[in-house]
Amino acid sequence: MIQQSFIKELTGIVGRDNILSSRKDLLAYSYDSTSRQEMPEVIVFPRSTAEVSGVIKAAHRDKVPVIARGAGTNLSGGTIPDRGGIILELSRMNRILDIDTANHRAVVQPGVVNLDLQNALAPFGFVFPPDPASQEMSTLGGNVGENAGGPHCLKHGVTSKYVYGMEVVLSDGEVINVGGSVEDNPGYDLRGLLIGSEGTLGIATRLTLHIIPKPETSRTLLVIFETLENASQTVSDIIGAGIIPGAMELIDKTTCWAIEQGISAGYPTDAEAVLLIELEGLQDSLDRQVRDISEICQKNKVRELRIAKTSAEQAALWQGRRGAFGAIARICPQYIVMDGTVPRNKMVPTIHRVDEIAKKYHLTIALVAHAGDGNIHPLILFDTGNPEEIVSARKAGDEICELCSSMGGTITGEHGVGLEKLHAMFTQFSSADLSAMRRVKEVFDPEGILNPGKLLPPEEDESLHETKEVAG
Amino acid sequence: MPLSEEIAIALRKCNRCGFCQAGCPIYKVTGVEWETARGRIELVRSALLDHNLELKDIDDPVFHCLTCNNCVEHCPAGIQTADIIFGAREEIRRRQGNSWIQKMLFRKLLPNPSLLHSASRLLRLADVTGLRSAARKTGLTRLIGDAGKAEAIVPPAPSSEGLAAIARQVKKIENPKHKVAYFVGCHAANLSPAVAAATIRILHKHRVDVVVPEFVCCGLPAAGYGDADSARELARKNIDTARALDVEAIVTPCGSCSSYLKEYGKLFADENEWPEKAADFAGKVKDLSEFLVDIGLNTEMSTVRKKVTYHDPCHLAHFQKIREQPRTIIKNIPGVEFVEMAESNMCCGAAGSYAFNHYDLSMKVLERKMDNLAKTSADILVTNCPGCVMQLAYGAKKHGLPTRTTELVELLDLAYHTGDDEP
Repeated sequence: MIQQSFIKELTGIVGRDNILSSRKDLLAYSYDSTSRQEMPEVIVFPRSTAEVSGVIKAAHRDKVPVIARGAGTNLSGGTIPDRGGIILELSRMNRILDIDTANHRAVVQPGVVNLDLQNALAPFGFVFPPDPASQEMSTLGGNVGENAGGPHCLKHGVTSKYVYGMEVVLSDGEVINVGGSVEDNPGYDLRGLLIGSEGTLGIATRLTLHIIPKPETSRTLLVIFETLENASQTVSDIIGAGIIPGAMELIDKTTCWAIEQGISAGYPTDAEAVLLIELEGLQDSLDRQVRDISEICQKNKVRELRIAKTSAEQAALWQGRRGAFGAIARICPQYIVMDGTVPRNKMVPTIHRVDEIAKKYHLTIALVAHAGDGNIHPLILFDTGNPEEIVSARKAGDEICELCSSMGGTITGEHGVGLEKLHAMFTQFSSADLSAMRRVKEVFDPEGILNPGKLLPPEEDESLHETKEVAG
Repeated sequence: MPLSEEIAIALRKCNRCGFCQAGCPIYKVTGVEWETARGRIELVRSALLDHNLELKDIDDPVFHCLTCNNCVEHCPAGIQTADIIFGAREEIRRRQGNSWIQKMLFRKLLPNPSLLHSASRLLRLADVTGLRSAARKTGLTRLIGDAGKAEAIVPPAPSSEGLAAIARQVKKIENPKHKVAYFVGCHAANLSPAVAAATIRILHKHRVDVVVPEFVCCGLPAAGYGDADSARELARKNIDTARALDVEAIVTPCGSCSSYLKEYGKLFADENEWPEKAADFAGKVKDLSEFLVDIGLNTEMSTVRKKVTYHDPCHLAHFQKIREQPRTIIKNIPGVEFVEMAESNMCCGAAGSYAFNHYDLSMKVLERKMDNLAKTSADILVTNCPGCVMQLAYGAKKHGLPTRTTELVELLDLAYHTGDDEP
């Protein structure tokens, strides 16, 4: 329990207009985009690194939990204040400090919304490749904290590839710089360690990001298959042939149907699976790629291959894909988005097993996969009014995590661990693996104040789980 | 009437994805979670359904909402935020009661056009006698808080003789192609008679026979405040007035009026014949831009050599999905160079009487709009809602922009008559 005097001290640091603590305020910061909810004790909106440092110093002295938060749109329970404490809301540190196209760099504060950066880069002909579905509202600090992905990460890679350096406030309030402004830096790669650490090791207050020129042109293909196997084999064959599309998404029948209920994007409603492929690059290279892909599709018994003829057709297809979760939400507003990822050649057996899990729990599970990455992205639909179904949905989610891990993949490809996949960590890692991570946490945050209880499952729960065998 | 079942269901439908943040003008300027639909819904649900928050705690979350419905455009589940907010306001008013000034406005003035007109004459009187500027100089306006700060948004009142005078401008049309009732609206009737005159001239230009019935306020201001009973009473009067008319459509150039008139069908849940009568009425309502494009825009126009941009009023863009028609009209005017403004469909912060209750928030929202306007370097900013016009004109002046703000009908009227000359 934090005292009134502590709130007064924080008020002194950030000013009266940048702190909230009434009951309604606490309630509004008690959730994220999962169905979890726990009350924080105070919310502060720092506007500078010095203010972040000041808040952390006070929290460190009094051992108060600090949860860094951007837009609060994560899908892992990562910003749920389940031990109370301070919500460190970074939405007011939202300035783009520099755009340096000559050196392919942008310097931003962590509260800048991903799309706001994209919009600022557009006039220069540049993009920041990570494009999570939440890019309209999620912040770059959050993207870095979760090591976010997105459809176009197939070709370009996830967020960790696009962070040159960071200014970070440590758990005792000290401010350090990690990485730099070029690809490689001497010493330990602390930058790599901190990206995706979900606010458990430090708080980034300034990001030096890698931006790239927008591809000269792009082509969008919609490929329709009668079976999941054929669609999936096509994905493997395309990558196997050395073609790396900008994005390659697999959408199942349920999702296609849902999309077409809302908007007419041009998806078939009777095919088992479709692939949405975006090729990008130089004009001349794309014709050949289209030819090669077309041959691969024929070999895999494609029903139809459509190439978007106009930019309007292209936009409609992508609008349908980006609105897929939304389309599902119209049918069933409550769902758990999983992001288990498996090796591409294991996608078919994994998807079949997911189907079995859905049948076992009498649930509908829709798929909107980043297929090129093997991220199967299942959406488990459930009804919040039905407590049994909530339990079933969570159990199904756990089983899918275990499944992906046992297929040689990972429990989370881009959303992070947070609270949602805490126990699935035991299936992913051995106790020695986890112990090494715990030691890192102890070095960075000996008092355990930074987003405590997230990412690392409690050691004492280990006996409840069959941990992975120590790698031999 | 307690919170309706429909609203209770909508409150439970939010899955907290947070996509609404991308469309919320107030969230964009405050960054506070309960200033976006997700937060407002969470708190309203807590207070009204789960009873773990006091009613007074949701006052700010509920009344800070612009009810612009831009969030709905981003909401995967299609949750109608404005309906929820109006419902919550109604519930708050039901438990707390209305203030005398609101009762006076919604129950006495708005249902009675001539009384309302007399009241608006007081503003004119204050202008001509110098009372308003005296009040500003002496600091009297500052004493009444936000309303005092916002007082300058309302331009000097023109001389106006109300609905009757507007009706007198209607001419007999030989071989009319269409027949409509013109819903003038409180603002045009009392504060902008020039807009009403232009509307009638434009309709005549399309060989449309016009009648100007004695409609009362559409009811939106009352509903927005949370006085749904008054809104329904006004709706009943308008529906009855329309039943006596033999017209194919009820048109208005005011985006807010057309939007709310189209919602009449939703107002009467289970009151005998009213739902059906209301739906009939709502089915006839057309925004003027929508009507003109439907019947075929008359393109015999003079040249207007100006750079023009357009601001989408929320009640047209988000409530009626009318975005293309006003642009089609503008682009059809010879000589016009149309330039699109960034975030053109983002609320300007006028939102009815919002600026009068939440001046500072409204001004922050307006500032963002003015930044976007400045980047267009347009000569003329066109929109079609009197609230937006007042707010945007005030903003341009406040921010020192040379852009002139005008109603769509005024620009079109200019094109039909004199062309390039300043109106």
